[in-house]
Formats: sequence, structure tokens, C-alpha cells
Amino acid sequence: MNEFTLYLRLGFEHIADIRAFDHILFLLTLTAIARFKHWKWLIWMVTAFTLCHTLTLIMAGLNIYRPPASWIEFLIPVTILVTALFNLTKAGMDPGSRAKVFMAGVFGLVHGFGFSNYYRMIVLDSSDIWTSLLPFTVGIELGQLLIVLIILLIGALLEFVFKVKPRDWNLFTSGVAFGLALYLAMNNWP
Amino acid sequence: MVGNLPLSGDEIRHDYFVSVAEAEFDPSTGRVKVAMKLFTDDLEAMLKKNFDVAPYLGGPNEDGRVDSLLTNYLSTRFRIKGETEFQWVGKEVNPDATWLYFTIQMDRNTTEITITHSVFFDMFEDQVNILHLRGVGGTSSAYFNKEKPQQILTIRHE
Repeated sequence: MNEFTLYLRLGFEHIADIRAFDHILFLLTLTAIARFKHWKWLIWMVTAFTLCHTLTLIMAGLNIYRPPASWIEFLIPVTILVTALFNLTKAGMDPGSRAKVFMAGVFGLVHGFGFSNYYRMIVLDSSDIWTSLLPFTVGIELGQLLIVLIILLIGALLEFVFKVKPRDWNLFTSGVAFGLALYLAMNNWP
Repeated sequence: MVGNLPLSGDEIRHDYFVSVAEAEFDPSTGRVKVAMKLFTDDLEAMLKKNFDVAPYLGGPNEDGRVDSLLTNYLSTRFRIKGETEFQWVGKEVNPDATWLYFTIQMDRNTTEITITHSVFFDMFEDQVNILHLRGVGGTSSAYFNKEKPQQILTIRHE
């Protein structure tokens, strides 16, 4: 395997790894309200999240700025908590909410630093950005797209087969995410 | 973690069990030089568990047997098919990560190496080891885990 493929795989597995479910949980709270027909809104949201987390991942990956890892591990569950609470509001139940696109971006900054903490563990000082940071980032994007697709499929299945309303599913997942994120935040108290 | 004060951004969060290593094959001597980065706390835990020592890595009270115990451990957990000699070079201990340096003697004309890299597979179920083999013609990389502890890498001579 070449270096590029290896880091692509590591990036993909990092976000799609069920054991590291904090990023998955965040994507779930962001997109549980959406159905396939809201694809335009989803593109905005995924783009905002991607641009912002890529920015901080590169910043930290190139050693431009790196906040303490323990704060990031605490702030990641906080982004989930806030998004889950926001889902109780009117805007939070609107699959077209601009506020949520904004949240995807701002919170993406925090998640990007989270990705960078893992990235630092798997590279050498001699690793360069083109054969490691770039494929790692692309791997994360691919993993993220897969997760959003799965969330949409589950949502569609629930709605059309089990007649679960998107609004109820959104509230249910937000409740679950809130509980798990609260636990994570307490365990990662800086 | 509760009570863990962040002093700087250099601290590494340790939720994953990963290691990364770089190996370089010198075709003029047949020697493979390896530099391996491991988490210092994992290494301490491994020495305690396997050899029943309190290692105090990098400190003034470091156990005098540490280097030979590491040689012992590495030479059984990082193997190259056809190796003739394993030689310990040294280590560099940092609070987060420790670098281990060693060399493995191979035949000069080796073109393909079969590596078994099972460092820490005895410690952690989820351990993943990454290796980059640098040669004159470029780098080939490999990913080792418990399901696949052995990989074949090609040495590019030009």
C-alpha cells in the first residue's frame, strides 16, 4: 500500500469508527430532521462542516495553532449537547434552518481540532502534507458522506415503513445524543 | 479526564492505541534502520506487565534493565523474515511518546520483506501499528492489527 492510500483509509476509519462515535453523533443531531428531498440544505451543511473542520485540521496539522487536546475532547460533546438542545426549538426542527448551517460551521472548527489530535499520533515528523494530511482529510470527507447517507436511509426507512414522523425521530435522536454527550462531557471535563 | 489540567497544546490525548514507525533499508549494507514511536505510558504498562519492573522511563531512577528488556520484547514482536541480527540502538523518552531505535540486518539484495509487527498486540485488543518503509525508489506503507499482524513490503532499489 502507498502512503496516500494508508492515510486515506485512516481518515475514513477515524470518522466512521463506531467506537469513536462522537463525530457520528454530531452528524446525527445535525441531520436527523432531514430527508432526501432536503438535499440542498444538506449540501450547505456538509460543506460548512467540511470547510471549517478542514481549516482547523490543517492549522493544527501544520502546527500553526493547536489548542490543548483536553479542551477539545470536552468541547466536542458540548457541540453535540448544544445541537441536541437546539433541535427542541422551532428552527431546530426546520430542515432548512440557516442557524443550523452556521452551527455546523462553527462546531466544525472544534471537530477539526479533534481530528488533528488523532492525526498527530499517526504521523512522523518527516510526513508531508501531500502524502498524509491531504489523504487523511479526504478520507474523513468520504466517511462523513457515508454517515450522512446512512442517517438519511434510516430516516427514510422509519418514515416510509414504520410511519415515524421526521420530527419525532429528530427529538428521539436528540434525546439519545444529549444523554451520551452529557456523559462524554462529564468524563472529559478539562 | 477528570483532574487532568491542560498546560499546553502539546499534550496528546490517548484514546486510541496506535503506533507509527519508519524503516529505512540501506542497500549498500543490507541494514534496516527502524525508528518507532510508541506512547510512553503504554510502554511503561507493557514493561510492568511482561517483566514485572517499575521502569520510570527517562527519569533518573530508570530501571537499568529497561534497554535489554525492550530489546527482548521488540526482537520477538517486530520480526523480518530472513533477519540475521537484531541490534538495539537507543531510545528517546518524551512525556507523551517514546522513540525506539534499532536495526535489523538483512541480505543486501533483499527486494521484498515480510514483516510481523505485533508490538502491543499482547496489551491492547485494538492496537494498530503503522509502518513506512523508505527506500531509494519511494515509500511503501503498511497497517498492522491483530487480524493481520504480518505484511509483505517491497523494497524499491531505484
